[in-house]
Amino acid sequence: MKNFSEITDPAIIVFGNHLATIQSMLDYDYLVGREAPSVKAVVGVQQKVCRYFFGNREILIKGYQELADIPKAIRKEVELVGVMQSARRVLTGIEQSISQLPKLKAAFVFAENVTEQDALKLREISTKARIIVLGPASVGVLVGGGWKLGAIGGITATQLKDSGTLIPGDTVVVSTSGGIVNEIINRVTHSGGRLRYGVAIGGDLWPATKPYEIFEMALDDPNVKTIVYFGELGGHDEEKVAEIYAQAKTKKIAIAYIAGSISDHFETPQQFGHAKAMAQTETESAAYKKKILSNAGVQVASGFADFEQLINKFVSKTQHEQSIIKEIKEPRMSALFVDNISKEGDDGVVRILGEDILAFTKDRSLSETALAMFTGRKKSSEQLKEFFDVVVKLLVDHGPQVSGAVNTMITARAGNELPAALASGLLTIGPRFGGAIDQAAQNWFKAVNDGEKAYDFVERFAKNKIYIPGIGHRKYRVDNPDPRVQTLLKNFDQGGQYTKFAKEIAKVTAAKKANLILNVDGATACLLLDILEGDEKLNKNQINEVLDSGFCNALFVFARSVGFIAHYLEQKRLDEGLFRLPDGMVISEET
Amino acid sequence: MARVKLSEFRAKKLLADKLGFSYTGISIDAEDKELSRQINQLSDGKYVVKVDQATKKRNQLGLVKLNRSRNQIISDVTEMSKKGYRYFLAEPMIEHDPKDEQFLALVRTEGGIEIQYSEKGGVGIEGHADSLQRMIYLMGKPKAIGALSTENLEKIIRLFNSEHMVYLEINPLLIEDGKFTPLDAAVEVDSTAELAVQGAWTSQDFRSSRLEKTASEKMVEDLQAVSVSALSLRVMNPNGQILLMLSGGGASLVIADEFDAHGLSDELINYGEYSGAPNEDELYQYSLALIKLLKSGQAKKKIIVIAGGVANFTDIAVTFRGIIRAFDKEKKYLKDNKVGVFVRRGGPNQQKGLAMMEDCLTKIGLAHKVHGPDISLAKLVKEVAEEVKA
Repeated sequence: MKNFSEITDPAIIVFGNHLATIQSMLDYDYLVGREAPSVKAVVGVQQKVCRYFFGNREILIKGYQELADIPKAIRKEVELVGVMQSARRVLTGIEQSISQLPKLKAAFVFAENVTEQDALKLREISTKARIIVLGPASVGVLVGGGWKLGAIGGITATQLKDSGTLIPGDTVVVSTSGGIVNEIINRVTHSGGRLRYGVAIGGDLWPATKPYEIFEMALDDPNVKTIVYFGELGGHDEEKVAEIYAQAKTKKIAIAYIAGSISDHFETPQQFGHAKAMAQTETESAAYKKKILSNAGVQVASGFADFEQLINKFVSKTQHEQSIIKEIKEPRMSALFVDNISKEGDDGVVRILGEDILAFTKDRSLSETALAMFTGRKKSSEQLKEFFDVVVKLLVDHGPQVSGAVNTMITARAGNELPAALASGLLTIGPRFGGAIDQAAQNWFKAVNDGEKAYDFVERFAKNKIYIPGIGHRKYRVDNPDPRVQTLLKNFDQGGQYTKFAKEIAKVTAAKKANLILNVDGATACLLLDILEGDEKLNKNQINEVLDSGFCNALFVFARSVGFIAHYLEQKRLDEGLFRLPDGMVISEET
Repeated sequence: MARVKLSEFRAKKLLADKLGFSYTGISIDAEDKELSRQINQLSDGKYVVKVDQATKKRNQLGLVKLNRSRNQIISDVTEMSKKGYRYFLAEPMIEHDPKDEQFLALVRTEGGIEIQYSEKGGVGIEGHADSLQRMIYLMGKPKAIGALSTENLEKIIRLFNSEHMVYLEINPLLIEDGKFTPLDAAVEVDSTAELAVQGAWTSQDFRSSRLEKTASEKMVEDLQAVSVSALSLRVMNPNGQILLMLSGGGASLVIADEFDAHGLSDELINYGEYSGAPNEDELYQYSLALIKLLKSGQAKKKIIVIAGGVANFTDIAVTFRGIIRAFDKEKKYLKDNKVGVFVRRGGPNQQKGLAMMEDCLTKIGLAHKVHGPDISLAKLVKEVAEEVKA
């Protein structure tokens, strides 16, 4: 990359959901007339979607835990990265970005207290990969009229509009201080100048990109006329700046201010705000730096007031075309819910997963419709569709004696309407009734991924005196197998690891007692896991998400609602009157 | 925080642990009540007693006592502590021939670790500059240098990296049959790595050559120790007229410089800054520490400058609320002494913060000026300077 301005329409990924900063980047996009948000994804977050505004419209930006979770199609377009996580994670973030983002050109890092060794390593790997990393304590870079990476330039829409940075220009601002960079940008624009770009290097001792490198970039750029530099005492970064500026013999004017002359008034060297800001030797002092810059032909300010005057005097004031600048009305209202399942449009059309309901249901059976809506995805593998259909049919009912059906019937006979009767049945579903598929799935998943042996698994449950969900049946035994389980296994077992594991468990348990076989709940659970992994190609995180969302319970609730409704309707038809337990059906200790 | 010096005691302990020699020196805190018991546990023999506070030129200043018996240690400590020192080191005296004294230093640089070595070490090292061998170590096996074997150098480099040192100087250094004896050791570490070194050194081992710290400075140090934000204070002239309540590393430096440019550096009571979005309570405590400092001063006219650049993240209303609470608590003093207040600040929530400040200062009845970022930092300082000189 020769200079920042060559990136015109960047795709950006940000590590860390830093609300104010990301929103300000999006506001900048909008204000300069970009059609789509530059920030494509946020990494290192639990949320699946992060809520932001693009102009006055609320938008959702995808969130991912790991960079590798982001679809390749997005990753291969990314040119800029922002890292706003804790110091410990900075190096990994940049390392991963370098290896996984082929078009990466620049990044900024905003973290306090990155160790010197990490900072040096940061410079080493970024130099090797030929990308520009600003930081470790940088507020970013802003290309005038182009884009904004980081908090630089301000974080509210009003600040951005007032900063005068929405129109491109020919002045480059470089600062070691993140707070002062905004002061200088404002001074430049109020003097009638406009930004080519503004860069915050950060005040650490070992910045990954050094001031002279930004100078080199600016000196090579024919569109730059003025360079404004803010530096501080400490370190020797200005020596190289002076050297290359003198060598360039350029007409471009450089203006510099070096803070820290106050340091001479302390008896022992004072550590100022930034880590680098401390002069132990003469060559680290503000006065020395001023001298070498001045000797190199840089306009060096004697004080800050003088600095402002130099900016006024020397900043190029070429007239720039006023482009169309958009408005952002504040305060912006945030929606109360995020929902991607369905929508009623202004035209009255109901859309399921974005598609007109008529079209959506035309070639889908009821179970296919339910599956798509349950997963939130329009497409599923044939294997999953078939499996879902078979399982919900098998789960539809299990006789009137089961607790949920009993409660439904009792409520019906008490004279209640369908919603109350159905609800009382559904409310019965829990750990001991209907919840076994979910529990079995969680157990199979965890044990397989922890590498637990079947024998150890069984012993663990036995030791804690807990039944294994998905194992055991009241009537079926090894010598009299459950035909439903046999059918499921025959049609759907493709030799996946979860089914294999569940069968091993059943082998161990059945050897202890003949009725401790793999039951229909356990079989459904392991087959589902294998289909999710094999046919749906979900990774571990994604499978975990399906389980955590309660998908297995959804299977049961959806199917068994049919059974409960059926029992209710029949009770109404029979109209047997209020149910009461006959005397003698309840026993207590005292009698 | 940035680079800090460790005590000589901790430096030698680290070297001993990693290089495999025993070190039997003890660290002495003159304020420790158990001091005599600690010293009585030492074995008989001759000792060196010295100030352990990152002080330069200790020999010339008489802060190193040689050939002391165990019983003399306490009186030495008492004597030297009268000069304002608090931390000392007592270690067994090692007899040696001065011509065996060598010099070794490791410096973290951008290009790698610079290793400096001389066979002519000791106090006269500066006179033997041409005897100094330098090499840059990047990776792999280091080359042996003088009496330093590859193996020993490797151990030192590993120690240097694992304990996040940025500077290590051993002078004089004795090497006899490959056995290492550092007679003096100075270490600077990267303080940001305190968590990473897992207790190998802690902030308790940090030493500064400054002697007296004011109560306010200690308050701010304690505050900093438990905060994720940055809070600092350094007293300049306690009897100056101008108290600085500044925010931001860059802006605070600019403002102090500007006062200097107006010839007012002698009137500055302090330098200090807060940044990294401290919370309201931290700002309240910080402001109280500063006002305490203001109250202790003898100047007739007193001015408080609350200023900073345009913040990126720090919430102006939140931080100002902390300052306002402190002002409220001290309002009687501020009013009775006609303290003037100048404010200049920008950033998130600036309108609300500035309005609250204006309201507070009006209610207390202090002469004041409250500005947003439309007034430049230089102009604010000019305004204050005119007031001071009026």
